[in-house]
Formats: sequence, C-alpha cells, structure tokens
Amino acid sequence: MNEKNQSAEAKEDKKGKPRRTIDKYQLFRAAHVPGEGRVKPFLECLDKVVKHELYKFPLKLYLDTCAKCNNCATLCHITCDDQSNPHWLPAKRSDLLRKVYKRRYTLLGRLLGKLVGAEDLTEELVDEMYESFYRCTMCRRCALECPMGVDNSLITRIGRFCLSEAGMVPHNFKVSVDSQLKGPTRNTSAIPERAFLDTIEFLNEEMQEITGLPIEFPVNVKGAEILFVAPVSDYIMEADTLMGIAMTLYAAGASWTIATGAGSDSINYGVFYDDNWLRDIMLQLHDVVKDLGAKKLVIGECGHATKAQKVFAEYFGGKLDFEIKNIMEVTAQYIEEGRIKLDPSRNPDPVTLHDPCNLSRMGGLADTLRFVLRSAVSHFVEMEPHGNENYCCGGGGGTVGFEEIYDFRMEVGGRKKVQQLRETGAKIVAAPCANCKKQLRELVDYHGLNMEVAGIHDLVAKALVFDKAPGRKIEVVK
Amino acid sequence: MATIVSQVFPYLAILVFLVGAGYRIGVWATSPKKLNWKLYPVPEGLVGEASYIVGEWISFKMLFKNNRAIWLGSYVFHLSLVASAIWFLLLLLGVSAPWLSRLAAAGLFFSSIYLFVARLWIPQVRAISTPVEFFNLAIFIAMGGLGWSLTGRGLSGEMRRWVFSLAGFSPSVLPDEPVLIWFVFLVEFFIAYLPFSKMFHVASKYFAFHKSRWFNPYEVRG
Repeated sequence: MNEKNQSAEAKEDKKGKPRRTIDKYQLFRAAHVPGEGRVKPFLECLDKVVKHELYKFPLKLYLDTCAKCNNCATLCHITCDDQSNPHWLPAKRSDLLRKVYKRRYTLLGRLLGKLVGAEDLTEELVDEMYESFYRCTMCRRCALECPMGVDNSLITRIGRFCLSEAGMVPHNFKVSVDSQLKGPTRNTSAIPERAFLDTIEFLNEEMQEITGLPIEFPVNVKGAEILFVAPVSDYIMEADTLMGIAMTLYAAGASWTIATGAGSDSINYGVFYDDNWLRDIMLQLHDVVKDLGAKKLVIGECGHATKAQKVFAEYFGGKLDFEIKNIMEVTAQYIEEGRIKLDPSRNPDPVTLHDPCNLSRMGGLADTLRFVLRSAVSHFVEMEPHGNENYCCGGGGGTVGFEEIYDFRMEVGGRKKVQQLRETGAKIVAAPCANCKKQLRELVDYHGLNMEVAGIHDLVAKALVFDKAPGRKIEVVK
Repeated sequence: MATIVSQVFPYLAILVFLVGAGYRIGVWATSPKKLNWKLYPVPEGLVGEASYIVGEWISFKMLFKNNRAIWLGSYVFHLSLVASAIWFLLLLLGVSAPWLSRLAAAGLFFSSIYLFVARLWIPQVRAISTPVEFFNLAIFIAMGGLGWSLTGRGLSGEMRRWVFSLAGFSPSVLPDEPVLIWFVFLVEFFIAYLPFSKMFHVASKYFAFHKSRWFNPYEVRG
C-alpha cells in the first residue's frame, strides 16, 4: 500500500476506532494511542528485533517452520472448545507477524508475496495486530505440544513490542509503567510511601492480633538476607497472602525485609510488551537489592514478576551477586528443613490448585507448589489437566488489567478454567499469582461458582504451628 | 527435456539443496542463544532429550493426542516418505522391492490428497492456510501419482544405473518416457525447493526443542 492510500485511510480513524476488528470486543484507545503513522516505527523495531541476539534465533525459527496443522488451537484455552472465530486461532494470530516477516526478510516472500503468505504491513494490519496480540495471554500452552516446537507466545510478545514502539500500548500498561518508572511513588499503583507504611502498620497489628506474636514486616533493613518484594497491589487486594508470607518468614526465623519506593513493587509489565521498560523496571529493583545488601531477591505470589526476573535478570542485569527465588521455593525449603511446621488438619475443606502458567509451565515449579499446598491442607483435589498442562486462567499476559475486555475474559478466555474449577468440586481454589487470583475471583463471581479464591500462603498461615503460639483460631481465607 | 533432467538438473538440485540447507542449518546453529525461554517439562540430559524427540518422530504423539484427523494424514504421509527413502537405499544396494515402491507411492499419493482436502474442508485449517501450503501438497500428489504409475514397469535397473552414473560424474540419459521424466523433474525440484520451504522442519525440530526450549544459556554446567 502506498503512503497516499495510508494517509487517506488514516483520516477515517479520527475517532480512534480500529480499521479492522477481530471480534465484538475492543481495547480502549486512550489519547496516546496513534491512529496513523505506525507502519514505519513498527518496521524499524522489527528490523532490530530480527537481528537482535535475544530473538534472532527463536523468532526466525518460529516464523519459518509453522506447519499450519492447527494443533495449537486444540491446546489454547480460548480455542480448545470453540474455533468458530478464526482470529482467535494461535497460528492465525502469529501469521499477522509472519506475513510481514516473510515479505520483508525472505526471498520467496519478496518474489511471490501472498502466494507464500507474505504481505506488506499496513495501518489496517497494525490495528488487527493490536487487538489480536492482546487476546493472547502468552501462556505457552500451545507451544507445549506443537510438533514443530513453535512458540506463538514469543511471536505475540515481539508483535506487542513492535506495536509499543509504534505507540500502540494499552492504557493500563502505559499508566502503570509511567507510574513505576517516572512517578514519585515508583510503584504501579501510585501508592504514596506514607500510605504504604500505614498499610504495613495495619497488617502488623492484624498479624499480632491473630497470632499473639510480635510478627511484623521489617522495612528497609540493610543487611537482611532476603529482600521480599510482592506485587504492590497485593498490599491492597491480597492482605491475607502477604500476612501468610510474613508469618512464614517469621516462623522460619528468616532474616528478611521489605522495601519502600522502587523496592515495594515486583510488578514488571515490561515483560508483557516492551523490553526497554522490562529492563528499566528490573534494574530499578536490582538497585534496591544492592543498596540493602540482600543475598536473595524473593518475589511474592506473582507469576509474571517471577518470570521477568528469572528469564531476563542475567541478560539485562549481568552477573548477579544475589539469588532470585519465588516465595514458593523459599517456603518449600523451610518445610523440607523443618524450619516451619504445618498442621494440614486446620484446612479441612477441599482445595484445588490453579497452576499459574508463569510458575509451572514456564518456571518449573509445579511440584513445588503442590508440595507446599499438600503440606498445608488435608483435602487436596487436582484439577484436570494440571501442572505443566494446566489451562491459563484467561487473564494472563497482562490482560487481566484490561477492564475493556472484561467480557472477553469472562465469556471466552476464562470459560475453560470455569469448566475445570466446576469439575473439581473444591471449595477453595489456591492460586499463587496476583493476576490469576484477580481473574479467578472475577470468574467465580461472573459464573456464580460456590468457591473461594486464595493464595497458597493464605492457607499456609492457617496451618502454621508456632512454637509460642497462643493457639487462637484464625480465619484468613476470605 | 530428458537430457537436461537427466544430466543437468540433478547436480543443480543437489547444489541448491546443499547451499540452502547449509545456510539455514548454519543460521540456526550459529545464532546466539541468549534467551532463557524454557518450557517445562524439560527432559534430563541428552538421553532424555533424544528419547523425547525420537518418541515424537516415531509416533507424532502431539498430533495423535490433540488432532487425530490431521495426525492420520500426516502420519501416513511421513511414513510414505520414509518408505520412499528405504526403497531408494535398497535400489542403490541392488535389492528390488517393487512392493515397497508401490506402497510408498500410493501412500504418498493418497495421504497428500487427504491432507489437501482436509486443508480445504476443515474451516479453521483453511483459515490458516496460504496458497503455498496447497502447492506443497500438490507437488507430493504429483510425485506420488507419477511414482505409483511407474511401479511395475521394470525401470529399477535403469534408475539404478542412472544414479550411479550421476555419482561417477558421467551421467547417462534416462529413457525418454514422459512420466518418468516428469517424475524425476519433480523430485529434483523438490530437493532444490526443500531448504527454502517450511518443510525443512525435518532439520529444525532439533533446534526448536533442544536449543530454544530446553537450553538455558546461563545455567552453570559442571
């Protein structure tokens, strides 16, 4: 398409409506999202990415070798039971980037164009990509059994990256990342330090009232072995999980601290769409670890924050002089070493586990999650399928923060998870991930499931046996 | 036509194949691996990885488990290719196996038609298909059909002599039978085209699983 035509079409887009839609849902177009002039920056970004040492190998491999067998659609939580909308098929989504790649970088694509599935990038295609790449939750279940080993989530991620360079960023990401990197609070929820500390004080009082023990969140303690960093939203939404973690660390006699400022938030939305922000957010947190002299950076019950650190820390942060762990690994180690004691009979209700994709399939922690949960509850029910094969909750890839596609998450993205939850017959679903918990709570409400959603440490707290505990009954699962 | 297909195209096809295959494998093998993009389960050690990949090669279990209709066509198709390769090796060894050539050619012919129709018939597979997917299958339908029609015509000896003459760089000319010449031409085209097509996944699988999915470049290895 020539520039004149593109310009003419751009004029039709003044109201911010996409030129090409893929379903009845639509991402909110904030004022910062441009309606034209996106082709050039997108392609400039793609030019760099296909040569970049991180992506050159896997991206070319995945774009070159898809057999178009549609096996991925049978695995995806969106399309496994309903493939009526071709735009939701993982291979179709990846083709949006594949066709541009073929046209721009392959001999056959240059010579034969559409005959070999190659197309020039247009403004319409950019609009289609923007919607499509934000329907995918990048859970990587489709890659699990792709006969060619193609990983559509990486293609989605690169697509989002190039869109970001073209200014196409969902409102929620933009606001959160701006707040985390440029705002005075240095956290995604823009919680002022005073309010953050007040919340901590409240949680300390709660824990002391529940246990009768002097448990508290140590703040900015230099020289502590562990710097514990949760997604900052947990301090508002997942107080029980945080208190459970604090109680666990107290019971184990750990040397630990939390931090204020940039150290108060493990969220790294850059991992979902833009390596520049991913790097900056990560290094900002690493600076806090170094300032405090911690030996371990322990991420809370949060899948994407754990993935961001474990996958990218050594590349962007160089050789680290501290370890990176998820809190589930730490708690599992305490149980194994006998540093904490759990009484599973205190959690008699049937509990099932939702495996966060970032922790199990991508983090290799499926057994660790089960070990901790089974130690804390007396009636564990497996979801089917589970572990590495578990289905995404439908809110991964950052999409849980997009209220504008709430209906999609409830009606399409989350329907497989609802089916799975129903089949367990469990009263509680435990999910050690802030994003998953938000999505699961919304699914439970929307579909009227008789089920509570909890973090694993909510249940660990209830099962914890303190040596000097006054033996008060605690109800931490709300 | 018979002369050029017999004496020029074979070398050209092999040359293009070697350059193309060498380039693509070279890029996959030498490209830096900096992204720790693991996907679990991760098999333990080279033996674990090999058994995982070989198990998949033998059974196509990923398709079998999730996509039985495509598995059927794909499995027969690939078995037919393997049978064709075995027939060719036996030919070089001087062993005549007409039953195998019939089986391989018929298998290739029918499975390619099956996959072609499935690609047209199943809406979601059609939605992700481009003309080149149909073109690739059309080549196999033609090769399978022509190959099948050549079986039982006593051409094995001629073929064997021709192959050895190629190896000795003094190529003979194939009998001027249109079906045979078209068949050989298609095979030569396929050999040259293979490294530039997605069908080269026969070589990419190792890299997709071992290097991309399981290998952590930052892991300390003792």
